[in-house]
Order: sequence, then C-alpha cells, then structure tokens
Amino acid sequence: MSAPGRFTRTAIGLRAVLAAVLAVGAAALAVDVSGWRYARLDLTARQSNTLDPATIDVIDKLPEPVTVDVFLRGLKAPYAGVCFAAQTRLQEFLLVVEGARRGRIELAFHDASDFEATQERQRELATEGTNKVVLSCGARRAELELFGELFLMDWGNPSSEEQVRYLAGQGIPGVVDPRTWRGGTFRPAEIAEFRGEELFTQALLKVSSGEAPKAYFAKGHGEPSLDGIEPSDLSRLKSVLERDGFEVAEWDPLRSPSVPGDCDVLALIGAQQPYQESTRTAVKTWVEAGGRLLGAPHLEDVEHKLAGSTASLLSELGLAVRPGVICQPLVGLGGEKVESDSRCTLLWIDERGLQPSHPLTEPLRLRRRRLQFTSTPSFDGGGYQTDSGLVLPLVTSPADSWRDLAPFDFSCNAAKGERRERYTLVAVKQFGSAKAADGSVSQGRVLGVASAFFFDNQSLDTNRDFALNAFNWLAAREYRISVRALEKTESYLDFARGNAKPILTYTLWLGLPGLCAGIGLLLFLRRRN
Amino acid sequence: MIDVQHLSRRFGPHLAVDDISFRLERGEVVGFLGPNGAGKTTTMRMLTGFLPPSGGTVRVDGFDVLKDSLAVRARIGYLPESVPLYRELRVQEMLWFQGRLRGLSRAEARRRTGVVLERVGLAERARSLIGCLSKGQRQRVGLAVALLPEPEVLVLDEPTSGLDPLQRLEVRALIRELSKERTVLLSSHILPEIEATCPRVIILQRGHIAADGTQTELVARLGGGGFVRLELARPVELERARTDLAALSGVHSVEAQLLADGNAACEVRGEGDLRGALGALAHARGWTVRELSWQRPTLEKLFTHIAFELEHEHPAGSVRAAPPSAEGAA
Amino acid sequence: MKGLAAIYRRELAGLFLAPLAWILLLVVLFYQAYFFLLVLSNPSRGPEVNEALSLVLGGGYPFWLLLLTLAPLLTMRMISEESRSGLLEFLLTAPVADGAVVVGKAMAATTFLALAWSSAFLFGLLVQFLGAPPDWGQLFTAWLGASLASGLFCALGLVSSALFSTPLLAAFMAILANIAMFALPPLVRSLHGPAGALLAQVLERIDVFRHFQGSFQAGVLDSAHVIFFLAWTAAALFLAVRVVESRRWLG
Repeated sequence: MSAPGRFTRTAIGLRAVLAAVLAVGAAALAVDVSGWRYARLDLTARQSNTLDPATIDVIDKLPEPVTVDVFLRGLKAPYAGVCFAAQTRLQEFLLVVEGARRGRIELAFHDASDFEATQERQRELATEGTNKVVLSCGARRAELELFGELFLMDWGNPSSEEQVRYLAGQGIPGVVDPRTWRGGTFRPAEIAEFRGEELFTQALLKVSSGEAPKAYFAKGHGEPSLDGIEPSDLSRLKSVLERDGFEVAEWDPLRSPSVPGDCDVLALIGAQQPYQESTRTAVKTWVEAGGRLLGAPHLEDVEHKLAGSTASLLSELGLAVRPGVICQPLVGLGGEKVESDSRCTLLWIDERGLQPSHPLTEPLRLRRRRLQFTSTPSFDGGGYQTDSGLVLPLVTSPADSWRDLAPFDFSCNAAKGERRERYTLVAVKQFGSAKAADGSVSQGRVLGVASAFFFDNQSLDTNRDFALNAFNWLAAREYRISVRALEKTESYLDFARGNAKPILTYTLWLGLPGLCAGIGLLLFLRRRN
Repeated sequence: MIDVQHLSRRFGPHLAVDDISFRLERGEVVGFLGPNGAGKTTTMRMLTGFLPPSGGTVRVDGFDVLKDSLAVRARIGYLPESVPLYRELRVQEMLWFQGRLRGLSRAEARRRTGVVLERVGLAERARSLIGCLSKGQRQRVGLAVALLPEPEVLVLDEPTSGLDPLQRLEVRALIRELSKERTVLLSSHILPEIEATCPRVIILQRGHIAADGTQTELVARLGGGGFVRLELARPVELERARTDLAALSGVHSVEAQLLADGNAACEVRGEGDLRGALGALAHARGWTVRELSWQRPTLEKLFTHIAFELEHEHPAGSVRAAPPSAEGAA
Repeated sequence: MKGLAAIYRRELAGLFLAPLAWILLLVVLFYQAYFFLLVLSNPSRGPEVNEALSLVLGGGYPFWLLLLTLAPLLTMRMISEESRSGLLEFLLTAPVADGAVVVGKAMAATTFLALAWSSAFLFGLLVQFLGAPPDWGQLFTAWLGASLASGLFCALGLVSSALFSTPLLAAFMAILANIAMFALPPLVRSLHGPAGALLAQVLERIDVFRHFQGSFQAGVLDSAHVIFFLAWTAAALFLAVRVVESRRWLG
C-alpha cells in the first residue's frame, strides 16, 4: 500500500519540478525575445538618455557589432571622488549607448580587481594603461582616454608635492606639471566637460571604416620636429593624430621630389627655409589633381617675404599671406583695455570668430571651443572666387584686433595704416574636381593656417580639436559630425541660503516618520474594540 | 445533490478515506459520525474541493469537483473545523469580504450580512473585532460566513465544538431551521448532536462507511429496537429468574447478571414492549421489582457496537465493511 | 477577476492593519532619509538632488539591501501562516481560482512596497519646495522600476512562503534566494575562463540590477526591461500557484 503512495508523491514532485523548469524557461525566453524588438521612452526632463540621431545613425550602420572594453581604475584621495564621478558618468553613458541599439554594441567592463584577466584582454587588444575605453571591431581599434579626452578636466591645485607627483605618475594628460607647480592653496579637481557622445561616435566610425589615412609632414627645411618635446615641437600633434587613427610619416622633398603616392594629407608646417622650385611645382600639381594640403607658414618666413617659402606657396595657391602680426587689446584687471604690450600678440578666438556652416568649424563653434594664436600673420580677406576655386575664411580675429606692422609697437597706429577689423587667420580653398589615377573623383583642398605656432606642443592643448578636425576634413573623413552632448539634469539645493538644510533635515527625520507613526496610531486607536 | 462514488484519499502511505460512496438528495440533512481520525474532515475537504481525491469522483449538483471546481465551490458553504477567520477584521468586514469573494454586490452583501448575523444571534457584535470574540461567538461568525452566500449545500465540520450547552442548543435549532431549505452535511463526534439534528446518519470508521441510514433504520439494524430492563431486589435466584423470563411468550433473549450490590439486572428482548407481561410475572413470582423500564435504542449504542465490531472483526481495516443500507443508497 | 480584487483588498487591509507594516514603513522612511541626506551632504559633489533621489530608488546597494529583506518580511506569513490557521482552506474553497489568491497576495505586498517607495515623491516635493526641482520623469521611472522589482521579489517571497510551513523559515529562505538572485550575476561576471563567461551569459537573464540600471535608473522606460521584470514575476507567481496546488495534493 505504501508503494503507490510514494509513487504519487514522486509524480507530484516531478510535476512541480517540471512546472518550475517550464516557468523559468518561459521567462528566460520572454527576456530574450523582448530584446529583439523593443521601444524606449526617455522621460527625463532634458532627454539625457536619447542619443543624437547622428550617433544612432552611425550605430545603425555599423557593419558588425563593436566591442567596447572599458578599463577603469580609481584614483587616490583627494582625486577619488572626481574619478569615481567621471567613471560613473561614463558608465551611464555607455549603458545608454548599449540600450539604444542592443546587440550592436557589446560592453565589457574590466575591473582592476581581476588583474590577470584585465591584462590578458589588454594584451589581446595591444593596449596598456587604465582609465581608457577601447573600441574594437575585427582588427580595428580606437582608444579613448578617460581623462583629457572623454572628460576634460580641471585638475585644480594640489596641496602637496606628493599629490602632484602622484597625478603626474598616473600618465594622465594635462595634469599639473611638477616642474611648474608653485604650491598655494588646495583647489579640488573638477570635471570641466564630458565629451563622450561625440568622441564615442567618432571612434565608432573609425573602427567601422576602412584603412588609416596617411599624413605626411614635410621635413628638411627647418620645420619643427615631430618627435621633439620642446614647446615649439609637434610631438603632441603627432600623437593626437595617431591616436585618431592617422598614420603619420615624414616626407623629405630633397630626397624624393614628388609627393608620396599614398599621401592623404600633406602638412607643410613651420618651414624656415624656402622649398625648391621643383618641390613647389610638385605640391601645386598634386593639389590641383585632388591633393589635400595643410600649410602653416613660420612668422619669420612671412615677415621676410622669403621667396619660395610656405607663405609664397600658399599665395600661389590663392591664399595670400600678409605680413604684420595680428594683435588684440589686453583686458586689464579693471576691465580696461590695454595696448602697447607684447602680450597683445596672444589671440583668443571664441565662437564668434569661427565660420558657421563649415563642417570643419561648425562643431567647434557649437561647443564654444576657443582657439589660441600667438604672433600670427593673416590672410587676405577671403570669401572671394579665384580662377581655380573658392577661398573661404574659417577663423577670423576679433573685431577690435589690428594688424601690427613692423616695427612692432603693439598698438593700433593709424599713421602706419593699421586698422581695427576682422582678419582672416585660417582660410580654406577648394579646387574643382579632378580625376585621380584610380578613377575616383577628388577635390583638391588647401587649408591655410596663418601661423605654424598654432600646431606646436604649447598651443595644442587648446587647439587640439581644431587640428584634428582640420586633418580629418582634409583627409575627407567628414564624419566629424556635430553630436549633441547628453546632459544630466542637475539640480542643486542651496544649503547656504536661508534655512533649507534644517527644514530638510527636520522634515525627513521627524516630519515624515511622525506622519507615518501618527496615521498608524490613529488607525490602531480606531481599530480597538 | 451530492454524489460521491468510490472516493478515496491517501496521505502518503496512509489511507485516510477508502472507497466510500454515498448520495445526498436535495434538502437532506446528514450527519457524519465517527471517532477522531475516521476520515470525516478529509471527506468534507474533498467535497468542498480543498483536497483533490486520490480516487473516485465527487459531484455536486452535477458538477465534478475536480473539473468544475469553481462551480462546485460556488454552491457550497463550508465551515472548516478550525473556523478560519481574520482576527484583525471586524465581524461585518469578514462577512463583506466573503460577499466580495462570492461576487455579491455591495448592497446585497450588506443586506445579507444583517440577515445572517441576526440568524446566528450576533447582530449586536457586527462591529466587534473578531480577535476579541469568545470561541463560541467565533464559531457562530464562522457559521454566518458559511451561510452568507446562501449556498445550496452547507458543509459544517464540527459546528458545535467549543460551544457551551446553551449555545449548542441554539446552533442545533439553527441547523434544524436551515435544513428546511438546503442540503446540510455536518460532522461531529458527539452523538447527541447528530441524534438531535440529523434524520440520516453516516458512520465513518477508519475511512470506511460503517453504517448509513436513517436513525430508525440503523437502530433497527442493531437488533430490533429496544429492550425491557428489569431490576430485582435481592435475594434473587438468578438462574431461576432467567429461565422464567425466557419462558415467557414473545421473549427472544434474556441477559441477566448479578450486580455488585446483590441485586439482579435483566435485559429482556422480544417483540415489542414486554413490560406488562414482565410485571405480571414478577407479581406472580413475588419478586421485589426495583426497576421495570423500556429502554429505547440509541445511536450511541449502535456506534459503540460498530466501533467494537470493526475493531475486532477487521483489525487492519483493510477489508471493507458492508453496510447494507449504504449499498441501497448508492 | 472579482475574486482577485476582493483578495487584493483584503490582503492590503490585512497588511495595514498589522503593526508590522507600520514598523516597516517607519524603518523605510528613516533608512531612506538617512541615505538621502548622506548623498546631499557629500562635500565633493554638492547637494545634488537627482542623484540623492536616484540612490534611494534603486541607484545604490542600500536600496536593494532594503528591498531584498523587506519583500520576504511582507510575504512570509501570507501563505505559510494562513495554511496553518486554516484561512488558506477558506480561500481555496471559495469560488476563486488559486491563481487569483496568489496573485492578489503578491499584488497587495507589491502595492505596500510601491507605497513605501513613493516616499521618494515626498522627498522630491520637499526639495522642489526648497528650490531644487528634481527631474520628475527620472524619479517616476526609478519608482516604477523599484515597484516592478518589488513585485518580483514579493513573488519570490510567496514561493518561499508556500514552500515552507513557518513564516520565519520562509522569510529566511526567501532572503537567501533574493540575495542569490541579485548578487550571483555580478559575481559570476567577475569569474574568468570560458566556463565563467558562459555562466555569466546565462545568468545575465536574471540580472536584476543591470536591467534596472540601464533604463529605470536613467529615466528611460524600456519595453524589454519592463518585460524582464514582468516575465520573472509571472514565472515566480506561476511557481507559487503550483506549489500551493501541490500542497493540496500532498495534504
């Protein structure tokens, strides 16, 4: 009699287990299926979770899913807080990206706690260091630094030398320089800006597109070194370009007179000696056949009207360089304008000086990027048609600037014919379409930047975005699309004013619990018999 | 109204209800009688759909309790033995909840709440918390809850347990009144309870139906009804008296024994009431009669009889007893 | 479905008529107030309202710790104790489907928790009054997510309550199960090796925090994430119903 009883029990148990398995399976299936087609509704006040249509478009067009490896590590106090905040913001952003188009982006967070696995993955990706994001798609990679790229940081002022050395030892670009640190009171580090949306979109484009474009820098005529670390050298420009996916190489016209065949962008920056006739002809022919040239003459070259120099080459191509240094009044402590000071040659160009509607400058203008020029000559006005193409001014100096002519006195001297007006600092010229050897149609482009100092290590911090945009635009990689930044709504209580803090504290600690207890007690009194 | 066929239920190896069958007609009042553990509660739980049977079928008003469970449940008002009530609710709230569960409209639930509370005599305690009521009052609230949906079938498991004698009388009266309108199945292990309220009795013993029939039928089964009790004062010649009594016409059997105090007690069974004949005989013999009485047969007698019988004839309870009237009802 | 409404109302009333509910509500208020003020008084960040509100509604581990223990405490008695007191017998012999009984109870417990979480709306009103209006859309989605997650954990608590006969044991086992469900996926993710990766991929389907974080916390309603919570809640409720039914069979 007991045998069938036990059997029934087993049967019922089995049925329950089967039901459990079925339920779990059905739920897992529902979870999977729900990921195929889904709708997202952003309810935040500022649409903080809705990616720009341009970004969505890029993600939709990805040929295959992109893996995003995130290597994060915390910083020590007093930078732990700001580091954590940045990492959290990044994580939130990446989750938004992942959620926007599931299956296209695969996130992998690498915790510093699992050192071996992290290292292994880094070896696979051929990268090193932490606090960076690596996008990979097949063999293609793009790296984004947490600090300095994704987050523009104001590192404040450290309170001790130990902190300075710690920061510098973290390999973070743009931190406080131990050599220039002068002590002073502590100022905490702050996040100045999060640029995740735009940089991420670019990085996506990069890993999903084809081969790296090649930028050649001319050498052998007194150009600043691509590897030197002096303030006037170009090593930072080189590393920025390389990180952006460019292949950077040098071209010595004295050895190979013709422009290299695989050259996508030719940069003639800061030559102090004239180029040979043959070189200039080669460059001009190359540009007219669809080549892309970036020219930035050295100040000396312009002032001495060096024959055959970069400046004259640019003039021959339609971008006429005028001697004289563009100056701008200094603003004194009391707001008064000061002139006759050599510092007047340092120009800050804000968004008013950037040409709207040009793909190169428009994104910068929208993001209110500032540019910095030191001791720069200028171009002829622009906006005119030359016989071979249209010249367009891209960057102009402020309206109260003047062209200070030699001998320099750094003041606007009408007697010398100096006038206050906008002077063109960067101009661009597009040539008509030309058919390249491989049959593809290409338009020659010349971008003239009036001063070679614009690209040197000292100025690149400020001018980095412009430089990158310039090279990308020249290389015709026009995915430098404007991407709206996702802004989190932040709403701060003002504890300093009035009695906000006591009101909040008392209401939270006494008011609400008191209300709750009161309702509860009332109920109990009423429910008593 | 209720049709039970070959119903059995096992809990693991233990067979709680073993192949029982019976039928209740509409308007019938039936008492489930049996010692503790006989399977009364299990059977009732199967009737109400709380426990699924291991075998056999239960139909209520034509609906199978497994297949049309909800239809069956809607027709049954059930008062479980434990009298489950929400102690934190008021009496009327408990009844309203029952009304909502049964899909009554708000107004209808309130109207019926008044009616049933009046009926169970708790009208003035409608706003009391159930947790504050006495056991007897709770029992009556439970009854009210079972009555509220005005079910066609009432299944009451030990409805009078925990009540004092007076309340018990009230509940009995209530059940008798209810039995005029609906089918009632109630269980008890207290015999007078059943005797007082149920014309028909089903006696359960170890999961079997030991007896099923009207009280008279069952009592008749016990051996033709009552007997005359004759007690004679000492000195008595016991053997002599026995033979004299047995010799009387109409007497079937005589049991005589000497009591501890020396007096003799005789139980005389025969056709009808033999008190006259016995009195005359006693007079003729010169016996001093201490008692001469007609003993009506009782269920209790029957019950102890059956219990005893089963205990001794089928100790394992594995062989089914064959109550003749149960077969007839099926 | 009439029965469902009746049971839901009864269970909700039962919850609020018991002192336990009010004590839990008080605990929630103090707990949430503590963490809310903690974030607001963070010197490096400043009193930022949205982050503080997000923390008390699922943005940080304190909230989940609270939910994982609170849900079992609410549901522990719902089946196990009623089964002992015979009330389950009363409910299961009423003309109401077993599913309605279980779902009604789960809904009542979830409603209670949703109500407790809506204290965050009061916090929001308060800071709005003090001059720092919160992002109401984000607050709402966080609340909705917290409530959906509460539903899931209440359903799990009911399974446990149906499985174990004493409320305390039921609560204890449910808390263990909740913690396992919540903490396993991130733990497994940190494993390495192919087996770990595979397991992590499987367990991603029960990763509550990730499904919460990706949308509700950020202020997005994502159909997939809503379905995630609903699907697992439904599965747990189905399981609870089956367990209740099995209990009938086993007696």
